Formats: sequence, structure tokens, C-alpha cells
Amino acid sequence: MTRRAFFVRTAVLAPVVLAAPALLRAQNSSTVNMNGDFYIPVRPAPKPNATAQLDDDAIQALERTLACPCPCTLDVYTCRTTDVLCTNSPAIHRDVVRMVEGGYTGDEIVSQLMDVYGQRILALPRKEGFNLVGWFFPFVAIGTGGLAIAYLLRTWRNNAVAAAALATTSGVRSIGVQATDEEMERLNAALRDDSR
Amino acid sequence: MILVGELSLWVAILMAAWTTTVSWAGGYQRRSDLVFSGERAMYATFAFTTVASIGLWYAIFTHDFSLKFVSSYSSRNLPSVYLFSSFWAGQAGSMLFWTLILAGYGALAVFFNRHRLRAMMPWVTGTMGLVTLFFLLTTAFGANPFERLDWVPADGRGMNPQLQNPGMAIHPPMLYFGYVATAVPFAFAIGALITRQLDGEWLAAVRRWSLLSWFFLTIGIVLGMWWAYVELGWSGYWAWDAVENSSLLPWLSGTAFLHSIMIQEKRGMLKKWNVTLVVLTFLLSILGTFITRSGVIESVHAFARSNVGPWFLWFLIISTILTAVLVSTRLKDMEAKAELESMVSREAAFLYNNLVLVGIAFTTLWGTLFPILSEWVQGEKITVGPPFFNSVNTPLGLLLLALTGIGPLIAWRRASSANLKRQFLAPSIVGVLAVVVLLALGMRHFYALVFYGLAAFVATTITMEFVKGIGARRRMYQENLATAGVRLVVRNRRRYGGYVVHFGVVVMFAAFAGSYFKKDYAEVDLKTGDTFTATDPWGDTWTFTSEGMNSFETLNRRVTAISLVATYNGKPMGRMLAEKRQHFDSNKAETFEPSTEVAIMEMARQDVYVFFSGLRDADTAVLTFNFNPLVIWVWIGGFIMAFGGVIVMWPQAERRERGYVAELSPQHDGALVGAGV
Amino acid sequence: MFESASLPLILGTLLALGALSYVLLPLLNTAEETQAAVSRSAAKGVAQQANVVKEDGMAVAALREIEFDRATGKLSDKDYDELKVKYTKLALLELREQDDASYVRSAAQEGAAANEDPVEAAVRAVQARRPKCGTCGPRPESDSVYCSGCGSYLPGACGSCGATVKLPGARFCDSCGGALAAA
Repeated sequence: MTRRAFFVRTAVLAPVVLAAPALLRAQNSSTVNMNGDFYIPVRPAPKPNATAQLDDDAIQALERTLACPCPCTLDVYTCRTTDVLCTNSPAIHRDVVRMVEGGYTGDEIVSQLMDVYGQRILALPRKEGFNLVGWFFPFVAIGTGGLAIAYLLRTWRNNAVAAAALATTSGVRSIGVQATDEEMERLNAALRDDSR
Repeated sequence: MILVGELSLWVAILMAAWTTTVSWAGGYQRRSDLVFSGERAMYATFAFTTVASIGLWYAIFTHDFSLKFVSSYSSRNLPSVYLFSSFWAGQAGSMLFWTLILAGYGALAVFFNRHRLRAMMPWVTGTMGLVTLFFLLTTAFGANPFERLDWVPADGRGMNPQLQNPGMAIHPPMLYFGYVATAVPFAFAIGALITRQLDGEWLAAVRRWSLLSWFFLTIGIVLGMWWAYVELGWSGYWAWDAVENSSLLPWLSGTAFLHSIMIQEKRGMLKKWNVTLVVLTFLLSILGTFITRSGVIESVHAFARSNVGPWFLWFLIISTILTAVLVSTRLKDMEAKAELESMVSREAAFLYNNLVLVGIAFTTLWGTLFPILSEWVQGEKITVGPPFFNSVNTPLGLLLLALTGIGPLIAWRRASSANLKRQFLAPSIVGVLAVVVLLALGMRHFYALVFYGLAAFVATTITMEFVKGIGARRRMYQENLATAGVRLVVRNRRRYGGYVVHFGVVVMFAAFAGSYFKKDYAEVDLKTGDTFTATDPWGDTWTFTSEGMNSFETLNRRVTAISLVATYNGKPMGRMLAEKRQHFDSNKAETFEPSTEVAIMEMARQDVYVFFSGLRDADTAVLTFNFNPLVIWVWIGGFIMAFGGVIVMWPQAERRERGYVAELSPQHDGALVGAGV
Repeated sequence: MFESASLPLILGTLLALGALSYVLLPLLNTAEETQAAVSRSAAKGVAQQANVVKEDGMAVAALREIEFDRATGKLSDKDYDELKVKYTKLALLELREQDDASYVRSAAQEGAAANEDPVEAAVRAVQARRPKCGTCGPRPESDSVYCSGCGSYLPGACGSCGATVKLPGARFCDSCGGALAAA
């Protein structure tokens, strides 16, 4: 096996070998059920002398950053206003409203929900820890690809320059072609004729 | 008939196994009798898969509810269009449907190429046979549509109401036609790699099939968007759902291939990359199938939970490994003399176009699989929602749009900077002008401004390409305007068909940017006679007056409809009907949860989209009003793209010999010698 | 009762048997029959190839594009001149190569028309073919090594290093650089 062949094999096989167990495990543990109950009550005690910190618009904005735990992949607001089947998003909405009435701020509500559901309640992973890999790896990969292409283009260009230099300095013109009139006539006819 | 169908499935398995065995053995030992037998076995596989499918359709139309599949996905009162489409409404049937298309493609590929590509075809046939065998086995053992129940229900459960939509009747077949067609270039790639023939006719065959796959995927994806928009009720057409993403992946890599193959045709370079893309496109379509059917990632497409997941995963892993090994042993055969006249050339633009397309595919796959990776690494499941894909893919999409405009301006092989300036001047001015006008009109959204600036830039480029092309033809061939216009396209369908596709992309991107200005009014309570007043994103005033609700029964459902009278700046716009539907079976027993049918008023500038969420009390409806700017242009853009695809694919009508190749034959040889000396 | 249960089984069995014989038939053929089928297939392949629209060779397509790109103003005159010279040379070489291919193909077609194996016919035609000079055309002498018109080395082996020189009319060997012309 050549070095390149080895490199290609490693490059392709490594991710496959690494990803396979994760996929297999996910495959075994997954339970997708659209009508299933993913809702977990989040009902902290109201603060003393509670006044609502958020108005309706703010609640709406907050709910747009929460992922509905049902498999709809929508945010809580969109899900509860449109998906007639999902019982999870209205339930979460009630919890949110109850917490707002209990005097909780937006950040506090989110952290209460995260204590119960974990990070998956957020529609967007926070830019911290391992999640940073998720956010920035694509850009790193594409940037690397861009540099690789620039390098490749330069190599090709250099190949052409080297070939041209060789042709002029060595005195051997490898494509010094002589053509008969008949051949030139045929070539020109081919170029004139465009009914390709 | 049903039993014949069931038996045919098993015979088809034997036939597919035979196809692979004898074709590969025949290719390896160079034994033509084996190869002929393999060809026939491929046809027979198709024939028996067809009989099996007819058997299933027969069971559906005769309402044989002893079949689990039939009773799960159809019912006696289902309209016959949907009876036909219930074939692919569930896992088992859609697997069989997929296999049917695959076997059909295999038979077609063998039929059209068996004489011409004789050295390669045994390997191609064998590979098609093997992929078909895999799908047949998965169908028979993982999700068999002929599986019987111990008892016979009086009626079936019926079809999910959300699938009872004309878009849904044709969206899956279109997607399948596209997905499955990626298998053919893959089989050709395997054949070419084994026989070390990666040029000439191989290239043409692979290009044709890739284009076919691209065409169907495009239609399938756009139809899927349309279905999601009119049926799901959340007034959007793309949610970066895992299943949507997995249909996008092979489309992206296939699009990249259709661009980079031009470099191989014109320069003989990039052979390794092209083979990689062909293989990648196929593997991505298998990965997409795995994601869709295994339930590994949460999705609205609740095919969910079945035992075909591991089958696909193993198939994916094994075929990736085998292909990688095969490619790595053939690297030497794909070496090419790689030279480039200039770093600034169409070739370079194409490489970057490929980078962006594959980059978007990678990002999308990354985001789709990241929750699994996260669970594996940090032990916690996270959600990667639509905002992630939007924020990462939007800049990439804009880059792609920019390249769509830049590419055609740069000549193949070489571009000098003075020339480039001249080329870029007009489109850039138009682009900047568009931004200035929009700013003056009050648009402040950054991305939207970039979208429309680039859209204007690209549209100008494309227009210039046509105008200059026609001008050049008129000068070069002394043609009149009409002739030059027609011939420009007809004589170079691939280039100008491609520009038409690009124009469709521009229209679609402009429509996407419209969603930045979407406006919605949720949970509006409306009593009979009440009027709701709203301002749309253009600043115009709408009123909607409820005429009250009425209930009626039709076909297989009970409908509660609310009728609204709309006015637009005081001008009457007619009635809008939003419905809630409760489906029932033939005994009037309710089936499924209630579903809704949105009311949509389509206009060029925006869609008015009314969703009937529910009833507050007998007389009060709860409605959501959405104003979705420019949505109609998404469908129009999709149509233009498909139309461009047809132009590119249209078979060449004229058959003629190239003028410059003298037809030399042994008889003529003497005469030519005489003339030459 | 008996009929309704066993009819599909009989039908299925018949179908399967029919398919089996259809698929296995090629294996029962004699070697001659198989060979004849191969020849027929090859002949059809050749005929299909002749019917396919022939696309331009890479270099001719490039030249065509260079002309068009200049006409639409994408190529500057300087770039045009350089590219034109380079690709005209390549196109000429390509043209000669295609002439050869065309010769072989028509020999194969004629062979197929005369019910021979097209491959054999093509091989025979190539063997019988007289050497050809890239500049002056086919030579009258079937065993000439150098062109009697201009002295170019006709395709064959290089005198100094033994490498095969495919380029018709080449004056220098592309492997060792040694001069090939007789004169």
C-alpha cells in the first residue's frame, strides 16, 4: 500500500469507526413518539410579593428560544400556536406563565427549565464548553478546505509554468506540431460549425 | 394475487443474489455466459419486484386488511388517489417502493449500456444487483409489507390526514426517484474503478444519471417544502428537520458533482474528487434513509422506530469501508496532468463553488448529528435547532449566491484583471444600486440587504450572459436576433440550461430573504361578526371579519370551517376558509387527532396565511394570522430550477457526424494516400 | 376452496420457473453460441456508438470556447492569442488521434456488417494499415520507418532509447529527447 493510499484509508475510516458506536447506541436508545409525553412539570414556589417581570411579547420571545421537547423540532411558541397535536408545548407555556406570575425573570425561568430538562430545552446550544466545537468546527473545516484549494491551485499553476519553461529552455518542443493545409481546413471547419 | 406478490418478493431476492454473483464472477473470470445470465437476472429482479408491488397495490385496493400494512395505512373510505399513494405512506410499503425504483433503474442502466460499456457493465450490473439485494432483504426481513395479522380488522386505521394532500402524493415518489438514482452513478463508479476506465463514455453515463437524480431531488425537496407549508400550519417551509436535512445532503453533493465534472470533461483533471463525490452522494442518500427510518434523530417524519435502522447502518459502514479501500487502490489510475493557465479562472471558481456546496452539506450533517456526538462526549443531549442552521448556513448560502454570479464572468482557463474589471462593472453597479434603493425605502435588515444586493448582481450577470451570447452569435454566424437567441440555448443546452437553473436559485434566495420580514398575530379570538385589523409587513392594512363557523361532513372527515371576509386597504379581497378536520373511518369512528387546513391567499408580494388553532367556545374561533412576504416566489423559483433542469437534460435531437473527423475506412485508405502524397 | 388456495401458488411457481429458465439459459449455451452472442453484442455496441452524437474533443471544445469567450469579451486579446496557439496545437494532435480511432471504428463496423467479430476486424485493419506521417499523411510503403516526404520518424520505437513514440510526426523522442528525423 502506498503512503497516499494509507492516508486515504485512514481519513475515511477513522470517522466511520469513531461514529459507528455512537450511531449504534443512539439507534438502540432512541424512542421517537410524536404523541408521547415529554413534559415534566417545572413549578418552583412563587417569590414573595411577586410582580410579573415579563410582558406578553417578552414571553413570546422567550418561548422562541426554547425547543419543544416533542420531536417536532419547533420552538415552544411556534409549536403551541400551530401544532394541534402536541400537548407538551402548551404545558410548558403554562409553566412559563406561572413562573412569570411568580416574579421570575427570563434568565431565572430558563435556568429553572434547564435544571429539569437539561440543555436540550434550549433551541440553540450555548456557546460554551464542548458546544464550541459544534459551533465553530464547520467554519474551521471550510477554512481549511479553502486553504487546501488555494494550495492546489498554486501547484497546478506551478506545474504549467514548469512545463512551459522546460519546453522553451531545453529546445525540445514537445508540441511543435506541423499541420497540413487540409488538417487546418478541417479544424477551422469544425470551429465554424456550431451545431454541436 | 397477494400471495403471488409475496412469493415474488422472495423470488426477487434470489434473482438479485444471482445477478450479483454471476455478474461479478463473469466480470472477474471474463466469462460472457455468466455476464449474460447476470443481465437477464437483473431484468428478472425488476420483473418480480414489479409483481410484488402490484400484489401490494392489489391488496390495498381490495382492502385486504389481513395485511398489517394495509390495515395500518389505508381504510375503506380513503379516496382512491390516496389509496394509490398509501403504498408509500408507511415504512414497509415505502421500502418496497424504493426497491421497485432501484430495480427499475438497474434494469434500465443494464439495458442501455450493456453493448457499449461491455468491459465495465458486469461490475455495474453486479453492484446494482447487490444494492437491490440489500433493499429486498431489508424489506423482507426488516419491514415486510406482506406481514399478516392474526385477525382481520373490519376497517383499516386510514392514512394520516396530513398525508392526505396532493403534494404528499407526489413528493415522496419524486424524492425516491432522486435518492435512488444516486445508486446508478455509484454502480458506474465501482465498475469504472474496478476496470480502471474513468473516462469517455463512463463520464457521459454518470453525468446523465446524476442529472436525473438532481432533477428529481430538486422537485421532491420543493414539493416537500410546499407540503410542509400548506399542511403543517406553522407558516414556514423549512425547519432544518433531520429528514429535510437528509434530503438536502445528496442534493448538495450531487450539485457539486455536476459542476466539478465539467473540469474533468474540459481538462481531464479532478478525477479523484469526482469519483469521491459520486460515491459520497450515494452514501449520503443511504445515510439520509438511515436517519429517516431508524428514529435515531427526532423528526416530524414519524416513520420512526422500526427494525430497519441497523440494516442501513451496517450497509452504510460496510459500503463506506469497501469503497474507500477500492478508491485507495486506484489512486494511481486517476492521476492526471494537472496544469492551470491562471489562478484566476473559471476552474478556480468551480473549486470554490464545490467547497461551499460540500461545506453546506457538511455543516448540515454536522448540526444534524451533533446532538448524538454531544450525548456521546459530554453525556448530555442537546438540541440543535433551526437557528443554528440558519446562522451557520446563511453566510455560506450568500457566498454560494455570490459565486453563482462571479463564476460565469470569469473565462475558462484565464482571466486578466483589466478584463475582469470590465466584466464586473455592470453587475456590481446594479447590485449596489439595489442595496441603495432598498436602504432608501427603509430596509435595514443586514442579511436581507446582502441577499437582495447579491440577487441583483447575479440576475444581471445571467442576463448579460444571454445578451452577450446572442450578440456574439449574431456577429460570428450572421444570425438574426430570434435565431441567435434560440440557437444560443439549443446549441449549448448545458450552459444556458444551467443559467436558467441559477436564475431559479436567485428567485428562491430572494424569496427566502422575504422571511426576515414575516409578521404574525397569534391567538386572535374572533366571534361571529367580529373584525380583526392587522398591518402587513408592507405597511398596508388588512381586516378580517368572521362570518361564523359551520360544520359539515365530506368523504372521510367532519369539517369545521370558519369563513373570513378579508379587505386589503379597504378593497374587498373575498373569502378565506380555514378548516379543522376530524377524520373518521367507515363506521364514523374517529381516527387520528384533529388536523387543520390553513387558509392561504397567495399574492406576488406576500401570502396571507390563516391558521385555525381551535375554539374558545361554540362561537369564538382562535386564529393565527401570518403575513409571509414573497413565499410564492419560492415555488416559482423551484419551478424555474426544474425547467432549467429539463433544458439541460433534453436529449440532443440532431445526430450528425463532427465535420472535422474524416471518416477513414480501409477502402478509403488508398484514395487518401493518393491524395496525400 | 382448493382452487382459490392453490392457484396463486401454482401461478407463482410457474412464474419462478419461467424466470429461472430465462436466467439460466445463457449458461446452457455452447461456447460457440456464447461467442456468437458476444459478437452480436459488440456489433450493436459499435453501431450505437456510431449513432451517438459525437462530442468535440477536449481541445476542439476548448478552442470553440476560447473563440466564444473572446466574442463575449471575457478573454482579453492577449490571453486569446496565447490560448489560441496552445490549443490549436493540442487540437491538431487530438484530430489525428481521432482519425486513427475513426479508422479503427469503421473497420470494426464493416467487420460487424460482414458478420465477423468487430474486434478482430479492427485488429486486422490496423495491422494492414500503412504507416502515416503526421505532416504528410499515410505513406505508400507499408514498412517505412521514416517519412519519404519530410523525413519525420513514423510512430514506432525511438532509435536511441527504445521508447514508443506515439506522436505522429514528432521530431524528437518525448522520453529521451533524442532526434528522430532521418534527415
